[in-house]
Amino acid sequence: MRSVRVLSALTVALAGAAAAENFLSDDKLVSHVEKRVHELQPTRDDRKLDLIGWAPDILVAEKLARASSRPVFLFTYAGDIATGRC
Amino acid sequence: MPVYVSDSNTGPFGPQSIEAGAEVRRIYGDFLNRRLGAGSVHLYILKPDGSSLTGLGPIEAAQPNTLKHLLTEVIGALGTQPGAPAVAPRPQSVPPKSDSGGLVLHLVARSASGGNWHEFPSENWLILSRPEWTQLFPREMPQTGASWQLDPILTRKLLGRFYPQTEETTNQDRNRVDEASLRLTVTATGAGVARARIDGRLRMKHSFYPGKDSEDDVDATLLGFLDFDPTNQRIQRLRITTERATYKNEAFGAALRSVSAETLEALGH
Repeated sequence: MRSVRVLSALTVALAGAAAAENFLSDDKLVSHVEKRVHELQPTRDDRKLDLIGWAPDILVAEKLARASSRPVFLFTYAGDIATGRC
Repeated sequence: MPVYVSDSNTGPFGPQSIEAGAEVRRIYGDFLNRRLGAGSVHLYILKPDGSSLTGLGPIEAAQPNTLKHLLTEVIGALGTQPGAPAVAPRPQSVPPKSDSGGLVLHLVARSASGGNWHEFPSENWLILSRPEWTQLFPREMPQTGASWQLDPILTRKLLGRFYPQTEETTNQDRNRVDEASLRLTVTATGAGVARARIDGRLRMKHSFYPGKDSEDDVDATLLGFLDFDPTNQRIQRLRITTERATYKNEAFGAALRSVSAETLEALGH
């Protein structure tokens, strides 16, 4: 029984090792580029839009407004506001 | 109950329903008829029963104090009670659904200066199909120093949004690419994986406004890297960022990165 358990454990370990992916360690180029990428990422302040619970469309907004006795805040525009390009 | 609606979403080919588009047009028409102010870019406030109440043009709505004053007046007049959001807040910039095997890339581009149009960065998602992303690297393990130029069509796809915020009312590509190149050079190999340095150049005209043709140019040098496993045809990391970039002679930065399966899962994919 013990040998079966050991064999099972070994099989699992070998399977894990076989599935493991190899990675190259970060070098000067990677550190430099990753730092630059990180610096450009949106900050929490940039994404204040995400703090609002937007309804998916006007029909859902009107339905929820009726149910909760709240007014509808409808902003219309051209383009794609979620990309920041509009 | 906050909601935003783009006219590109409510048109006949937009992702929202015909009924939703018709309702937005009804609201627009009703505001016009009642002389409450209306526009394609506009803030409309409706009563809880859906009837027209008040609104603001985009310039006024962008003034925090003006907007706060209006909303305070509205909730006072309606007796609106505070409460939790009826819809849970969630990230608004999310990757589009992609077929299995697609490589999901996220682009951030932002001006280096503040001010109008530069308050926050733009974000775009790009999906490369398997036939596209497998063009990024050779099928066999390359030697250190091996170098190749990326396919021009793929290069243009990768760099097509390397510009800061401009007016984009449609998804139409109005770039005139004068020079776009990405060269990959292997700098390290080991245990079945390789790393290639990416050096690039982009010179491209992208008029700030659609329909107003002008020589608004992007001029950028690019740097990045690709970690890949040629044998198993896998990309571990792709990064391309601007080393030096200007648009209309003003500095900006852009960064394109591959998104891991773990991150996509966290975003609901």
